[in-house]
Amino acid sequence: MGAAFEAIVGAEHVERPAAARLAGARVEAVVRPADAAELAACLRAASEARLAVVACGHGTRQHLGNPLDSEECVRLELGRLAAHLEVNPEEGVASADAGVRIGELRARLDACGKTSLLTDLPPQGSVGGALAADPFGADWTLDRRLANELLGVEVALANGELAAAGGRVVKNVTGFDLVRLYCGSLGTLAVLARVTFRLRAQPECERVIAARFASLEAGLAAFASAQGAADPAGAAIVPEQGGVELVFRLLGDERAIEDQAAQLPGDGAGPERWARVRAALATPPAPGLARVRLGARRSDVAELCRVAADSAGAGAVRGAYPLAGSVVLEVPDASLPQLSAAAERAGALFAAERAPDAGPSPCDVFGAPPDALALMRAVKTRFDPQRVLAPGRFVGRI
Amino acid sequence: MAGAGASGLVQRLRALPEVAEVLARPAELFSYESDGLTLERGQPSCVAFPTSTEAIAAIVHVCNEAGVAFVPRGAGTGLSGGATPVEGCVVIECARMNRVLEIDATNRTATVQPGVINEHLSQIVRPLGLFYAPDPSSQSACTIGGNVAENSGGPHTLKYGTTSPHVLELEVVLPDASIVRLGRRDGHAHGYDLRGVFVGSEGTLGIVGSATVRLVPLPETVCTMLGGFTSLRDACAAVSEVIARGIVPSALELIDDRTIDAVEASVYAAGYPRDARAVLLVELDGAAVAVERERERIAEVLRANGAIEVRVARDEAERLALWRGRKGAFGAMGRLAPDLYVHDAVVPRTKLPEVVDAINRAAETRGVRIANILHAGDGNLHPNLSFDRRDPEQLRTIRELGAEILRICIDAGGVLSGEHGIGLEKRDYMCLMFSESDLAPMRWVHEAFDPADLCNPGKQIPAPRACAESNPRHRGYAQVSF
Repeated sequence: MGAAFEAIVGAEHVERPAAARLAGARVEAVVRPADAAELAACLRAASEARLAVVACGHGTRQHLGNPLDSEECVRLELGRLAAHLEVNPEEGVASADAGVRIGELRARLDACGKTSLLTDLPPQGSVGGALAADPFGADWTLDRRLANELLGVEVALANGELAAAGGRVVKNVTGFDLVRLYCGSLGTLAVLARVTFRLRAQPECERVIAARFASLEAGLAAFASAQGAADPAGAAIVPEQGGVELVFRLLGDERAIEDQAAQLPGDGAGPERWARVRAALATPPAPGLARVRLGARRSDVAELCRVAADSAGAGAVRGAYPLAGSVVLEVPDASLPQLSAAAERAGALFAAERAPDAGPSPCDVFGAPPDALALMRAVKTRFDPQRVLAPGRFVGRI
Repeated sequence: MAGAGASGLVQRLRALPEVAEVLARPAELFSYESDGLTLERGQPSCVAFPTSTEAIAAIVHVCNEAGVAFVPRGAGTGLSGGATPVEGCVVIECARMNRVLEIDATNRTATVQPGVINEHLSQIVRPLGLFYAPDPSSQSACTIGGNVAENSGGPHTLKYGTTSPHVLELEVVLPDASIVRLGRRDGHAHGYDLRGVFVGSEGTLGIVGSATVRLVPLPETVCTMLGGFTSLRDACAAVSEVIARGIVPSALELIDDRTIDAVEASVYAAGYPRDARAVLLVELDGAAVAVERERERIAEVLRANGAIEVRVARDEAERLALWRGRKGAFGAMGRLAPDLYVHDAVVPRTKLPEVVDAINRAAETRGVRIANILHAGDGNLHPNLSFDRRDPEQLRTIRELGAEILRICIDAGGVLSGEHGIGLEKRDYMCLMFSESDLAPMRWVHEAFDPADLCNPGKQIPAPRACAESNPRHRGYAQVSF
């Protein structure tokens, strides 16, 4: 099989690691296509050979998802697919190859006074990887979603064709919104080759405010009291020196931000404090541990904390994110089934991240399947009839 | 379907519980032959009025058993033929499912039946300090279910987005009559975003039984400004500079001189400057201190780009008057000719001047009277073509011009629709923008939802191979220069 990939990308861009594993499967080959055409040809070859393919950018999010439903796989690294990065500040739009690093994008946007939700993510990751994974982060809220910023994509399909969806304008209702379908699908329907996304003006002012409290409950109560006084871009309650710290991030017009900051509990903490909040969610869990997010409505965060404490102990909670209706905790791998069941009873979302190469999962890392699982399977079957695109990785082990 | 078959179908539908009414007499069906796009018409066998999700499912079940196509419909205000009946189909009219089921002010959500009128929802939640942001020009008549089907936009899309980001969860009747929930009311993603695909699918993937939507806090301050310009090009330049400076107004609306004339001669007269060749409406909202500063920056940009008048609405009455002219513009154009074709396309916003020039030239060449309204901040154009449908030659010319406008926009790097959708109107032009391999995934999604192809068939996506046959030179949007 390796010869087929060598014929596509050149022998120097195919590696046959002796004992590498990925998502529970033996890595047959690591293949590094240079452009979209090579990427599509690789997928066609994999489909013909019925060989599972796991696409990744720079490999920073490989700990997401269920184990592969396959004994062996090809790891398709898209780091070379990075020749195109076009920023159009007048239009407020940028286009990038999937392998472009977020750090490179950030530098280009900084130079023209623009920003993107993508640049809130770690700089070593890739643009395509971020959009395929759509990971939960400290900046995630109902209003701040990567999918809302994505305008168009070019994808490689399992049949070896390239297909475009969306466009390069900021408003578009032409055909089915496949852009949203691909975003966050973990490469199980298609592989992103190039993306176009909206840019925002860099905010005039950023303020981070932090206040200490004795307990998570006290932090949540303080957040509830502050609601209505400010419109923060982010908020987190994280463990800090035996208690918790309630951290707000404010963005926008300087005078408006100063007014809001004056209404919030705590003192100015500097952007590095928010960077620490982000960083805590950006790295894979340690071996044997899993990072679990429970999600519900914003008003249910206190209840989620109780569910978390009852199932895993109060010490397991690593943070509450009230604007995102989420609580994050760290637990031993073995306790995932119990926590998943508790989440299901509470009607909460359950999503677990496990250490890379953690072996078989004791339960579906995405918890109880959604109502529309049969429909999702039907979609997957039509996009990937040979089940070569990261089979088993997604919700319901699709 | 005709005769005894249709009669039997109507009887079965009338026997269903929670179906309020079934219309089947020709005179009753007349007003359901088209939606707001009167260029396309079709004759349904009947129109059924469900009052619950279960009733929709029961109607769909009957249609499945009879092998009869069904077409969902809200208020019929759509402008692309998405609700145009397929011959002999059952129209499922959801307007009587108009209850607000739940308002959760704490979490800023509302759960509504599909027939709730867009503007009514905002009126209901206003005392709670909230509103529903998507605001199509037809918002006093159009329904949330229809908005979901069309992924409707409106003037304030610039800041708040189209319908899709405001929809959290949908209870949907699938084409096989099963009921399923797409998305989650708490907004968390769980699996493929089928909610996102369903929004804007124009009733081809199923029918909304209820929708949980986001509500947005009312802004502390709203400020509406008018800029009068001696050329559309100057007004467009001002729009580009506003965007480039990173100012995000909630709306940036542009109307040309012909629209100004039509508005000012109508009951919607708003006091727009008659000596201007273009009027730009700018709305800012948010914290008072921020709006005040942005207002000053905008005024500076307008003047720097040649505005002959900059006016700020001094009170709510003046603000509403400025909007009355804009929102009434389509109605005002009724004075110009018996029929109006409201076109819709999007181009990169910096290309608006050259695209509008090209469209106006194309119209003049064909002797068509055209007036332009633009959601300029989004690059969304609405060229309005006045005509008389009783004249076959005019009808042919209008269709030709409509196609030419699409080609102009696609060649400029634009797309076929910004908010009206594809429906029947633009289905066969999808090939201008997409190749067969681009369209294949859309067909796969459709097959997964509706393998029997009974749910609003023939809309939005052209038949396989239609692109190669109708447009041998099709190249796919990916080949259009950035």
